Amino acid sequence: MLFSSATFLFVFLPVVLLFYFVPFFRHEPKLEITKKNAVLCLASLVFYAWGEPVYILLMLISIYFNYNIGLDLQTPVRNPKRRKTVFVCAVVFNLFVLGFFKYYPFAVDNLNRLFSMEIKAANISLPIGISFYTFQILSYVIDVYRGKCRAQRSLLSFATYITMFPQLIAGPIVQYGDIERQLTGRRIGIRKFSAGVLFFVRGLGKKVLFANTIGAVYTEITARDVSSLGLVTAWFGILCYTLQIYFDFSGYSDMAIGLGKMFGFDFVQNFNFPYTASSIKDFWSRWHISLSAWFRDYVYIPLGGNRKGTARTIVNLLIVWSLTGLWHGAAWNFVAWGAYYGVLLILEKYVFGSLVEKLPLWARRVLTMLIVIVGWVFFSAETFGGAAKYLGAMVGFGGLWDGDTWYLLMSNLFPFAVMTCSALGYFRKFPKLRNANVRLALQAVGYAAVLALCVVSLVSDTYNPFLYFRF
Amino acid sequence: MKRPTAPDSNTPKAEKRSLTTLVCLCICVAFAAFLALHAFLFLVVPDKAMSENENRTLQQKPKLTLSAVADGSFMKKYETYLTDQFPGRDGLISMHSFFATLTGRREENGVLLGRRGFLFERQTPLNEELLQKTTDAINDFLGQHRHAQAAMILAPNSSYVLKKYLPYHIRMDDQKAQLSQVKAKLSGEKFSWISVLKSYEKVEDPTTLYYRTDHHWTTDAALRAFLALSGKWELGAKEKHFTVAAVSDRFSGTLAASYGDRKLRDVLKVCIPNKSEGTYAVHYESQNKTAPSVFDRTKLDQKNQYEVFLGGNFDKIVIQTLSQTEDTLLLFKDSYANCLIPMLTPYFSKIVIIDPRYFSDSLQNITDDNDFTHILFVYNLNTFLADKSLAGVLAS
Repeated sequence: MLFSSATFLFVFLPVVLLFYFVPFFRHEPKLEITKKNAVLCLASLVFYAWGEPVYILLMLISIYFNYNIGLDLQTPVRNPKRRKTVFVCAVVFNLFVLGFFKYYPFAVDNLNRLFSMEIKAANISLPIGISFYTFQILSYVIDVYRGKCRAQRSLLSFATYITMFPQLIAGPIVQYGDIERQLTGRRIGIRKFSAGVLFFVRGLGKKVLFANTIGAVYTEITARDVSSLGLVTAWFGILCYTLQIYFDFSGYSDMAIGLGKMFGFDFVQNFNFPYTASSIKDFWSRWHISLSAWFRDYVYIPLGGNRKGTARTIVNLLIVWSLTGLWHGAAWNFVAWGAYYGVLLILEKYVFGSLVEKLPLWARRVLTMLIVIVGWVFFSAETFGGAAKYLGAMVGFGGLWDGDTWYLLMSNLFPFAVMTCSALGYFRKFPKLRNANVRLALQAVGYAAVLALCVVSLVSDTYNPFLYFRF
Repeated sequence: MKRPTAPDSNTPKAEKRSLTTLVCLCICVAFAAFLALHAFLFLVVPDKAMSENENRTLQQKPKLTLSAVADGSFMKKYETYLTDQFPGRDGLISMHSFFATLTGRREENGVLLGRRGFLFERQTPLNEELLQKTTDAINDFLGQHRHAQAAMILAPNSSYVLKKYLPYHIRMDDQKAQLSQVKAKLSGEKFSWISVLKSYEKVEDPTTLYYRTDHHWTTDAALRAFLALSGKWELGAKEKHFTVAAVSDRFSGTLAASYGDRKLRDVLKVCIPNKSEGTYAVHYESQNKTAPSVFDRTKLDQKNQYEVFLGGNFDKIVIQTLSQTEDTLLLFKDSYANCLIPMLTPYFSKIVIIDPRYFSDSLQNITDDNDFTHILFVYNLNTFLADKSLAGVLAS
């Protein structure tokens, strides 16, 4: 179930909100929060089963297993060796599940190529959200092992943390430590709920009105023969993709954060205007923040980070970034995309960082965006060959213009300009008013319009004329 | 909001805070009301069976069974059900195409919105191999029927003829060059190529040649092409022998339906020969039905009024006329021919119409039983370049 679907908006969400907010135990706050968690957990299971009726079992097993692991790691340390074994087994098990479902076909394919074998990969579909919830589980297990947090004694609270539907499918990756207290006691109120509504509607607008619209342009451009794509069209296409992926992903994060707020949770911010970054390092501190933080806390620092000398730092960075790439998808172009950032970050750190710093801010921002945009070429292409071809078009192998360039530019100029300004944060403090209440009210009116437009757009997407055109 | 607010410095903090709470409360209530209203509408608005604009049946409420849930088909159907039965769906879709047009967009579902409300379909690219196959088959067929007079009417599409109305001067293929390419591939002793573009030349206002809302040529355009054919075949037809009459001013064709109804309407005309030699019989073989007219008046009450010509597209139609002539015609066609066929009736005693896209019988049976004096092909370029059925039928 997508947040941007009629089923979610007009059936699932109203029912869940109703059960969540109608108090069953008015005078017993402890029972009431348990009920709220139960509603949320049950709703999340339905939400997950809606798209993955079979894999819900996998998730339930995973939850039960890790719940017990947590309790086991928590018991007073008598035998540190055994504790370590339990911990390692748990990490290996979780990584194995992720690896099996996500990377098995990819691994088999590579083995076949490498040794010219012909193993047939069983057709396994990827359980939705497994990359996200596995990382959340790992953060829990590791933090309990390290003694950073206490194990969760209530199975319900633990299951609520793992399954919580707002962030189950596309993040942000909530680390257990950030949310531990909120599981047993959280402030739920009008202000938070209304902030959640605004967050949610903003995210919905980003996804439905921005990402879907501009994504269609990119799809239209790449549907053509790439070798005859003019330079301007190719650049316009990848810029559209650049906007699409940002609005899609950050829109989804906003919706997750908004829904979280409605239920009383505070999730970490996941995007902070990444396209205004002035260096690659800056970009990654603004893009998918929860993922970068996860890799920093659970891979980079345990590997030694930058404390073990330059050579080790470089190796660590390369490992982390290749893994980051691989996390995004089981294909070599994602690994290449991750390694691309790894290499550039190393270069920035040791080679050209000090030179670049002398440039004016606008030049640094343009430079960063160029690197990011070229990165998206690798990210969006399905193969290396495809990426190379597209880069070829971007340097003019297909000429400067093609027949459709003018049409494409003209018919999409207005949405493109609006989205670019929005991605660069020009509307961040809109409208500029001193009176915060009036500003809030005006914003609310604006968001109401956005919500209405989203519904119009969602319904029209299903307009599916079945006409014998060619007749 | 309209209540005048005192300058910030004078407002006590508590009051300001309570005002914030009030605004927040409004937001919460509005959002909840929005969700509840839609959920309520879903419950009360009755489901529809058909979408006329889309020409398809709508998803009905799926049955909740364990197996349907386990394999996920229930969920998929339920999502489709909600969007298909969304309250006020048709209105929202029109609104969407209106807003999209405001932002500068000029294409919906592969249909382009041009100037003066003209809608265009995108062109079929020319596929050399496919074209060669089709033209070879035509040449072979004409070789087998050397004695018959043959001709081809291949109409260009509005996206070429009316190209100055295309949105933002989008570049399309040069159909004139494509037509010459097709012409060069066709040959035959008694074969004539009818240049439709040439027949258009005398027309003062080219916008009368194509519909705004439909992908067909107009009856006026078909008459131009027919008169050119008459010249080649020496049928002696003159413009004054025909009456062109409007039968509908509310015609909204397939392009309008694909774009999302824009309330645009066209005038639909029919062309009737003045000296029709009495009655004729139109026999639809696969339907086992005979009609007394080449027009089907009942279709004017339906969504797709273009079907007033012959009632739509059928695999094989035989028209018997009382015209005093020995001439018989074998016609291969797409739907562009439908409005032209009435013009042919005074000049042939029998017309056999084959639409290769539906025809699955053997052509041999038909050519053995009849000795056709004329063979005609009527197509539009978009369909012709995409056609994969004509070659097979001609060889059957």
